[in-house]
Amino acid sequence: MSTRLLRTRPARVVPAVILAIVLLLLATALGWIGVAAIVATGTIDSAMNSGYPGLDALGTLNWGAAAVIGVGVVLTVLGFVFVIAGISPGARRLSDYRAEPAEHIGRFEVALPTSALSNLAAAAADSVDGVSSVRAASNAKSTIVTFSTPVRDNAPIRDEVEAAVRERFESISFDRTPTVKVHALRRQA
Amino acid sequence: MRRMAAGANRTGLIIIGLLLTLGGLAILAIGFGLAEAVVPGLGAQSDLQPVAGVFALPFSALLALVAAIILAVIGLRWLAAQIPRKDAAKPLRLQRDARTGVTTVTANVIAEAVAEDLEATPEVVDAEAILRGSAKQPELVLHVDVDERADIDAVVTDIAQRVTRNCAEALGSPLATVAVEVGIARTKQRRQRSVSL
Repeated sequence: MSTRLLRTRPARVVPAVILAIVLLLLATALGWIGVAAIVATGTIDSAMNSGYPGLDALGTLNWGAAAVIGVGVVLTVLGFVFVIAGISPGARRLSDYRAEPAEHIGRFEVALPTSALSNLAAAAADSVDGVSSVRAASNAKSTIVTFSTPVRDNAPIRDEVEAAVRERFESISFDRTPTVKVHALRRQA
Repeated sequence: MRRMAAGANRTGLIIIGLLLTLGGLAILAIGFGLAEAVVPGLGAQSDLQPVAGVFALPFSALLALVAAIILAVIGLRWLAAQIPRKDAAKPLRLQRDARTGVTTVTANVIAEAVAEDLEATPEVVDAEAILRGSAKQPELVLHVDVDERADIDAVVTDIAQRVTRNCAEALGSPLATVAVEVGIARTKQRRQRSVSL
């Protein structure tokens, strides 16, 4: 029962799709060479180099050649990156909400994704007078709001935006209320 | 909300990553002459003829073809696993005694009713519901998009007190788990939610 229904950590879809496509490309190349070799010689016991003679050039390379060392470095680095991507849990994508249980519910999980935090913060900041545009970026624990304003002395607006976002977050029963940071950009409207 | 192949992705990444790292390190070890201590004569100056020789072996083209098919199957299955799965419950059997007849309800019917019930809350803009588990142990997964100015506590209370209660009553048993993901629907144009005077 300890496993949550809502997935908190990234599922690593992008690196998995990249690797799957690389596997498919490798399969295509191998298949192509294999078929070319069999077609070229007309027998089933043909060798791969009769399909792609470039493979023979490999035999003239030294292990110490720059190209071979380069391939070794690239493989090691890529492999290391994939292992890290597989092992590291990654950034949390949900902010937990303190939900009151009800008698007809065994376990009640409520959470807001980080995108919802950003949207909430941006909407709250947008309601402040003097703000011309807002961007917000969040992780599970904090939100950074960047707004632009045509006003030269923007410190009061900055404070007002911070108060508005903070008040909005405090009106929601988060497990841990996200912290708020506000940056102002002065821009001619 | 929908299930992703997180476990398979991570396992695949670790396996392929380890293979690549080991292969790369082996190439580097030979290239920098470190492998000579283990395999005499395999130094930086020796050529890749043993590797090229593998490609000149008889039947190597056929083996390449077999390897290509295996790799293609793995690649395609891994790609197909990336499609998010709903994993909805199998048709729920609601009868007490199967000798007198069987009553089944499709999970999607209940899920759609729950989604419609959710959308009846004024501040909820959009809702999706998935019913998993069984009739005795139902698990309800909800995603609601609420208006950016909505009172989120009120929406959650409404879900806890009204929507899930209706669902539990319809199923005739308490819900084992309810998971709610709350998204915020932003109105892009300010014009749409304000009146200029």
